[in-house]
Amino acid sequence: MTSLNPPTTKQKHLLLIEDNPADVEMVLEWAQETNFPMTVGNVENGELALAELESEGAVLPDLILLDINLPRTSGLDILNTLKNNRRLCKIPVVMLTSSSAPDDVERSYRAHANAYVQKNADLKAFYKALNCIRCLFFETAILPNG
Amino acid sequence: MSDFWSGLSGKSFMPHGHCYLWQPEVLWSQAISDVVTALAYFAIPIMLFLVIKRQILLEFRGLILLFAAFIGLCGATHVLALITIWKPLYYLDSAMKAATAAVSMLTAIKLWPLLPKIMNLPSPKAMKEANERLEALLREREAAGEERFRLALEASPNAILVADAQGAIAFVNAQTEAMFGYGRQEMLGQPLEMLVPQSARRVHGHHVQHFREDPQMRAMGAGREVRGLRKDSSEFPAEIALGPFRYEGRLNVIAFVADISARKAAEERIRRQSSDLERSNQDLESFAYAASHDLQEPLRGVLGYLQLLERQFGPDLPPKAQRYLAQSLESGGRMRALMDALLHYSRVGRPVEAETIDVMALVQEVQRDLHAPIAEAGAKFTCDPLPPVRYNTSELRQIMQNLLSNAIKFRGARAPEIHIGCRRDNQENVFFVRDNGIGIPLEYQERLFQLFQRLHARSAYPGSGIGLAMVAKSIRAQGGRIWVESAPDQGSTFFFCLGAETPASSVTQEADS
Repeated sequence: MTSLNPPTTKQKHLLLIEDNPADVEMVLEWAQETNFPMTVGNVENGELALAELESEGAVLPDLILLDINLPRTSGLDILNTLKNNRRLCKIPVVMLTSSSAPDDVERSYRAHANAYVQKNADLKAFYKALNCIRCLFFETAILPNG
Repeated sequence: MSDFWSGLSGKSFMPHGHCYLWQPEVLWSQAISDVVTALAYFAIPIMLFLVIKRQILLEFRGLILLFAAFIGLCGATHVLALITIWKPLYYLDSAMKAATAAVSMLTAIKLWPLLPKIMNLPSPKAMKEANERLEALLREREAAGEERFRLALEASPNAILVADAQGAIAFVNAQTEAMFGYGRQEMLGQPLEMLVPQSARRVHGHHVQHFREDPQMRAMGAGREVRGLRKDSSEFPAEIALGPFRYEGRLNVIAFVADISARKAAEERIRRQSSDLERSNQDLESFAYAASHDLQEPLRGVLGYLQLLERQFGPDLPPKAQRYLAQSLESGGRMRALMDALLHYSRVGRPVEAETIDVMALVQEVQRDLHAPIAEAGAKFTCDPLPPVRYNTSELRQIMQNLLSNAIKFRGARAPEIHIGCRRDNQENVFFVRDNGIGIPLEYQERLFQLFQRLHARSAYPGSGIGLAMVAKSIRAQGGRIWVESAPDQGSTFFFCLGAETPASSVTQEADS
């Protein structure tokens, strides 16, 4: 943990839009294990997430992890809404899904997803992917302000 | 003048008039008769010349000329007889008579052998009768031809109609009666429109007009589809061919009509069946897709929690619990692998983009991907020059991956020797992957390409039973074929051709280069 060298000292905020409790649990466990200064919020479906993000004075996350297979509105529709919103479109969105369907990949990038990562069923591999995401977006890439 | 005449006669003969005692009655009747006879005799050769000039009676040409000469000479003797009444040119007269005699004799001699021929010439009456017989025969033949033609028309499986220039029906065959339900007499003389449904009459009128302006043969099927109207007011789909048919200088139309109800019904049936099939295929695919997607979520839950349990509390668990946990994880992992494979299976064979693929390069790529099992098994690869194909790259990679990894996996005691080749067979490039592995008993070879068919215990040869099914599904969906030749312990050879997309470039050419 001491080897981490974040570009800013500000704590990062990660929003996980995911309804599968096992996945939520794993991400939370991972966040705890990594000892990186970040908070993880979780919303179970896209509409709730949008309502929260669009509300006045909402604190915007630095990164959104978005599942595709969500109850009611699909993650791809949520992505479209996010990327068409003047204020929200600049938040990087990583699609985090069990699907590897070429269609889903194609449609995600067409809708301006910032990355597409398949959830690995193997816990170690999944953690490794999450670490890569953290490393890129929180430690390497320069993110927009506020 | 008188000197000339006396000089010609030589001696002082008396004019022939003296013999007539210069009696005017005798003298003039002699003179006039000679003139008339001479004129008539000169007229005949002229007519004979005209006959010859018209190229008539050519085989008698020589004789006719002789005849003309003989009559002409006869005319000339009469002219001399006329002259000798007053002028005694008896030498000339005698010479002329001698010439006439010679030509007459010659004519008679020439005529003699022709006599039987001339006797055999038919009389005008006989000629007329013969002509009549000939005409009757011709009429009979014509009638027989017409009858044969009519029988042919009657025997036609198509309805055949002839309409005159006014669009009235002039002829129908038996099939027309059967097809439209009218008797022949009900149709003859009626307008063609009676066989066309009300709704189509205007269009039919246009077609007829169009045909009149450009009367050309219009072939069956080339024409558009029309509808026929039966006597009982029912309609049927028909195909029609038209031809111009000039008869007695007028433009008639001959129409060939085929009732295509049965064909239409069959087409409709096939269309419905294929759309049913397509829908059921789609349902199956979306089921497979949804099932593997939706089943994946709870499975992810199970595996996720089991892994969290193992990660956080594993070391604290008693050994038995650790074993149970490991078994659960392994079963769950297999389930996940199956569902992944099923998902892949549901995805292959859909209409996908085809590209021209360098198969050699693709095989090398797959070998690189398989480096771990290759190294582990000590597998050796040989590869013929392979022609390029048109196919979907990702599906062909899956095909090669499956065949090569199977060749490595199902090995016997020997190190695997795997050969990849291609041969030209019936205008097709047939690719093959040959191994020296355990082989497949004949009775299992059929089932090999079906979903979830496994020949071996999982402990001996792990696998989902989906790989070859997926390979076969992809190849067959593109119109290709896959088959295997194998015997236990003799190794297996998997053959496949990739359907119509295979370019013409031949294997031998490739091998030469």
